[in-house]
Order: sequence, then structure tokens, then C-alpha cells
Amino acid sequence: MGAEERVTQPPTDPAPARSADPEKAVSLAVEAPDPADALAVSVTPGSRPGAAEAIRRLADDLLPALVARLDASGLGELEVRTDAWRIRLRKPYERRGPGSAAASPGSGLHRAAGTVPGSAARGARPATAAERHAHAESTHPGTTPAADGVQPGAGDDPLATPGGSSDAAPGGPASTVSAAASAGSAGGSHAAGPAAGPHGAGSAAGAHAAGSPPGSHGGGSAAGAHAAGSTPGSHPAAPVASATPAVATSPAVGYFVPREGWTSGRRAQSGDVIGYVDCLGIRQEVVAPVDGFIGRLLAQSGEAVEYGQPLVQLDLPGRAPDDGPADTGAPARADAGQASTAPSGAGPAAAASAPASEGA
Amino acid sequence: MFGKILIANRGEIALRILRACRQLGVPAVVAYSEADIDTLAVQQAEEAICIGPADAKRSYLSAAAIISAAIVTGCDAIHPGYGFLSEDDAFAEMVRAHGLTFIGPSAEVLERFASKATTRHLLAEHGLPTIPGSGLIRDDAHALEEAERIGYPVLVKPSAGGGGKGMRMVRSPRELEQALTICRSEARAAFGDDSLYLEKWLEENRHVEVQVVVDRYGNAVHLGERDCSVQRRHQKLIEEAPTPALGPESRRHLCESAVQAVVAAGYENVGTLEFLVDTEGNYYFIEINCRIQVEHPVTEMLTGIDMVAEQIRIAAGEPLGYTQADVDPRGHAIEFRITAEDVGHDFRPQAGTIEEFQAPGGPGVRLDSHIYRGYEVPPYYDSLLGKLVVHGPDRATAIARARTALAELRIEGLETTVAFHRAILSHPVFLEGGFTTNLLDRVGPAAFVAAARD
Repeated sequence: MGAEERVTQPPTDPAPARSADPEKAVSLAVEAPDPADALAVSVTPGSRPGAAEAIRRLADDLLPALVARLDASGLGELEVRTDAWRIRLRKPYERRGPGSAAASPGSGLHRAAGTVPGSAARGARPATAAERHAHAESTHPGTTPAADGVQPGAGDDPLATPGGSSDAAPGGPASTVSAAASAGSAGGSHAAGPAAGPHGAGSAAGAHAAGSPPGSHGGGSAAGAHAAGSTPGSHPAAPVASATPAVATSPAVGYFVPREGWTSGRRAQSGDVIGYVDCLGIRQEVVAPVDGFIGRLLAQSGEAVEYGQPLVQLDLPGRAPDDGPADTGAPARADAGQASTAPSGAGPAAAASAPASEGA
Repeated sequence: MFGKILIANRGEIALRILRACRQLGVPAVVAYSEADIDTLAVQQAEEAICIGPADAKRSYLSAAAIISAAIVTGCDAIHPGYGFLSEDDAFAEMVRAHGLTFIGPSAEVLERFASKATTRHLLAEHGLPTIPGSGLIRDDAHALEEAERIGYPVLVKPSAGGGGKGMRMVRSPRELEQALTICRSEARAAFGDDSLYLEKWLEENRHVEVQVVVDRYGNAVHLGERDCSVQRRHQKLIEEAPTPALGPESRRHLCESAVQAVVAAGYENVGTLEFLVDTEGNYYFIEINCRIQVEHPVTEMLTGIDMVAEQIRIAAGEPLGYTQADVDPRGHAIEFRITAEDVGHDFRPQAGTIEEFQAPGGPGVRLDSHIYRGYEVPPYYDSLLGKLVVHGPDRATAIARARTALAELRIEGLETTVAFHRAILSHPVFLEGGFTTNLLDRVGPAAFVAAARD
């Protein structure tokens, strides 16, 4: 299936009480040419040596068949064993993740608005989301109605199920619809409402990717840096980040400080430090996710910001600022919301430039 | 009382703490990771703040993210819940250094009780019987020597541990030597500390724990005990109170000696002392948990005391305000931990969508859960979906209510332990109150379920 693969570390088991098994799992994010087909695979190796080789072999020989079977089955997950390997294939984790990753700042802050000092600019964020929403509507005629149609059902609708609804079958435009729809319903259940939902669908990948790098990843691109969060070293990919919205997001919880001299109109390259978030006195770097021009500040200097919050808009060269998210709406879905696959939010970018570090 | 509390946890306990804050009239902020935006606590909170990505190391385990979140939202106290940073004395110290209050024991108290081996020694000095065991193991030769003295079988345990990780039971010197290497590396990986100690292995035992509440001024009560003998690989599945293992007199004696010892040792806030009870009814102190526990609702059902509210009040410096004579546990309560695990596949944790959810109801039925229809169970965290707690005037009534409630409870979309709990409820050993901690592991959960159906 011409898939590229990336081996990522498993999400570390954070909960002390949890049983140990999943810790040994190695996750594979497999990206198909159409990012909407992205699937997450976790592989438990029986032995370390030659693991990369074995993974490559399994990916080539076994995966396509498995993918087809999973697709046909309507199940959310499949597992097979061969030799010492256990291969678990799970449909994209179609949580409102994509939506919520982007929606989270909006909605969380919306709630926080009245109470947090320096919240004046917070009102601006939902507005931004709203703008995007409007934009999404105009560019994704097929998408938004679906979202709207679903929204009343909000939390009550099991629509976000992988494979649970016919729309959710991986592949093609149908998936896009369903991603948007679930984002819509997520938004519906939050204060930010409709504004956040479709916005999420449109721009989640970028926002998510950009949001992830902590200050220390400053040098990386949005896509690469995110992957670095879970995959030190194994993903040299994609200073591309041509995907999606040119918004630099907060790497931490703290107080936002724009970088002196980096004001509106100044050219910034991907990876440039364009501001800071002061977290307990330590400055975490806010990094430009793409090449562009510094645009609007989405938070004021000194404002309290949360993790992942949009801080600085970057206007892309030769494009109107809001064009970014529009034509890359579909890839957002690949973000799938999992740690192992969350980097695949960066995936679209990665897939586009075929930078995969391992195999094919 | 506090001006505003940051809830630095997730899942059902975040919701539980939020409820306690509301009942106390204290505003609260829910701190959440990106993966938890859809969780019920976040939805219900007046205020919520995203502290990091799904990876707990950068969210729920990040002291800096949590403290910064408390500061920027104007909180003056942090409730850590259970797990994560709840018993981390360095975190508690850091919270204090930023002018905030850690809701739990002070950093000094946490530090004093951080090592299991030291704690055992300390509480033994204050009169609690402990299982024959070693001090911290210096090297293999020392371990072999100590094991010989204690007598096989022995249990190798990490000093910094919890949750059953890094523990091995061995029956011979040869097994011990192998286990030492494994346990050290497991303990190092899980807790960053590979110090081990040995303990006499009680072949058949029950896990009974005593709930204590101690204010800053040395006023203390116990809230009775809980029996947590239904376990699988040291993970509790069902907890109940009172314990069927001991008579009223033994229970009173156990609880009173526990609370006396822990006060004498300088404990503060809510805490749980865990004991093993052998087949003769002898009890041995094993460890203390310096936090609110998952199974605290069992005690709440019996005593009517809101333990999370107590915890918050005590941390705010309020005196206890009542004495042991005012604590009047009534009836029998049982808690079932409902987890997203596939019992048929070795309790493999599940992630996915809750496609159908119907909560049970009726007298004496309580469900503490953060799930709802459409909720996506994320794969990153503990697989606990909720806790079903039943209460009745006696054990038989509680069991009858549990049956009804477990029949009503519907969670679809992923595998859960609901059916497994139903099976346990029809097993004669449970019905007789004879469960021991190794029963499920010895029999195997699958065989157990099969036997229960007959």
C-alpha cells in the first residue's frame, strides 16, 4: 500500500496503578497516501535485535492484508500474532481529538475568560475560531452541514466511533465529513460551541503539531518537533509544516511574552523563536511553525495562557492569513488524537514530503 | 478555607474532587491534558486549563505545568487526587515553595512515610505488628542471608513501590537470586529507585486496610477498615467494609491500634494503613497510603463522611471537629472497580468509544464515573471507567443490590469488567466472604468465571 512508517515510542504509562503490558508495545503510525487512511498499529516485539527489520517486513507483507480486513470488518481493532510478534491494528482514534486539540484552547479559555487576569484578549480567540468556522463553511461545503447536522446530538451521539458509523469508514471524503462532524459535536458540548468545532476539523493538525513542541524543541518544525515529543530521534522529518494554520501556540502554561522586535510584518522562518511563555520563571520558547510573516498577536503580552493556546498568527507568504487551514482540512483528521498517532497530526506534512525515517 | 482549588488529576477522581469543592463552596479549576478535553470533569468545571499533551510526564506528572496552572488561574491550593503526584514529597515541597497549599500531608510527612521499609520500622516502634521482613537489601548475599532467616517463601518488594510493580514471590535461594535482578530493574524503571526489601510471604492472606483522618492538631479518628482481598496481580478489583475476615472486636482493635500508631508517628490528613490478615486472624502492617484512595467511597457509604471534603478542610487548617464517638459506621458497602479491560485477554486495557452507557440506580447505589455515551476512552491512562458502590444494612442486602446494579449497568463499545464482577457475585467463595488475595491469580480469572457460571 506504499505506506510510510514511523516507529515511535509508546506513550509512557503514566498511571502507576496500571498493568504493565502495554508499556512494551511499540507503536507504528502508518500513513497512507491519503492521510485519511492513516492507521495506528502497535507491535509488541518478542525480541529486540532486528526489530526494525522485522517491523519493515511485517509492514510490507502483513499490513496491507490486515488493513483490508480491518476495513472490511467494521471492527475498531484487530490483533494477530505471528512468530513472536503481536500486531494490533486500530482504526484512527477518532476522538474529538483533532477537533478538540484545536478547540481546547478556545473552549478552555472561554471558560477561563472571566476569571483569569489579563483575559482581555481571550475574547479574541473564540472570534478567531469563528472566523475560521465561517471560512470552513465556505470551503468545505460538504463538511460543515454534516457537522451541523450532528451537533444537536452532541455528547449523546456515538458517532465518533471508529467504524461505528458509515461515515467513519476510513478513506476519502467520507472520513473528512465524519471528522468534521465529530469535531462539531465536541464543540457543541463545550462553551466554544460551533465556532470551535469545524475550526477544529480544519486546523487541528497544524495547531496540534505546533502546540506540542516545548521550548526545547524550538529548532524543529511543527511537525518534526511534535513527533520528537514521543519519538526522540526517529523522526527527522518535515520541516515542512506546510500543512495548516499558521499559528504559533503555547508550549506551556504560564504568561505570554512576545519577543522584542518580532512585531507584525517581520519575516519569521520556521523554528524561529517569536515569543516566550514564562512558566514558573522559566522561559519556554514560542516557535514559528512555518515560514511566514508575524501577524496578529492572539494573546497579549503578560496574559495568562494555557498549553496549546494560539498565541501568534503567521501570515503565509503569498496567501491571505486565513487561507492556510482551508485547503488542508482533510489532513486534520489524521491527527486522530493519540499520542502514537498524534504525531500523525504532523503526518500529513510528513506524508506529503515522504520523509519517513524507517523503511519504505 | 481556600479561595480556589486546582484539581490536578483526571477521570472519575477529578469529578469527585470537583463535587467536593462545589459542596464546600470553593471555586475549582480542572487541569487537563489535551487527551482529556472531553472528560466530564472538564465539561462540568466552570474553569479548566490545558496543562500539556496526552503524555502524562508533560501534563499530570509535570510539577511545573501544574503549579504554573494554579498560579495563572489564581488558585491557592492544589488537589493531586490519587496516583500521579499525589504522594510525591518533592512536588508537595515545590507547591509550598510557590506559596500554595498541597491538599494532603505536608512534604515532611510525605517524606517521612515515603519509604515502605522505613515506615514499617517506624510504625512497628509505635506498636503495630509487621510481617517478618528484612531491612533494605544491601546485596545478593545479604538478601540470601535475610531470606534464610525469615524463611521461604519470601516476597521481594521495591522500597519505593506501589501497584504491585517490581514484586516477586520466591520459594528458594535460586529463585531469589534471579528475582533480585529482575525486581531491581523493574523498580528502577517504575520508580527510579531500585532498593528492595524482603518480606515473609503469607500463602493465604487477606488485604485489610484502615482509614484514618488526622488533623494538624493531632485530633484523629479512624473510619473503620476496608477489605480489598479481591485482587488480580496485586490490583484491587472489589473492596468492601466491614471485612468478613474479622469479628467486631478484632476489627475495633485493629482500627484503634492503627490510628494510635499513626498519630504517634506524626501523620496528618487522610491516610490508609494496609494490613495483611492471615488465616488465623493475625494482622501485619505492610504500608501506608498518604492520599485519598480509589476505594474511599466504601467508607463514605458506611460513615456518611465526605472524605475528600475532610481532606480539603484539614489541609486548610481546620480542626477535625468530631471524635471517634461521633463516627458511626452502619451497614455493609461494596465497591466494584469498573475498568476498560478485556478479561478474556488477560485484562488487556481497552481504548475506544463508549457507545452505550446506562447507569444503575435505586437505594444504596452510587456510581462515581466520568464516562458518558460518546466519550472516548483515551489509551494513555489508567483504565478505570468508574466505581460502582452499593450499600445495604447487611452484606446480603449489599450483594443483592450489587447484583441488580450490575445488571442495570450498561457500558458498550469496549470490553469492561462488568461481566466479571457479575461472575464474582455468584461465586460461593465471595458469597461466603472467604476471598484471599491470591485466589484469582491461582485459579485464573477465566477458570474463575467459568466456575462461577456453574
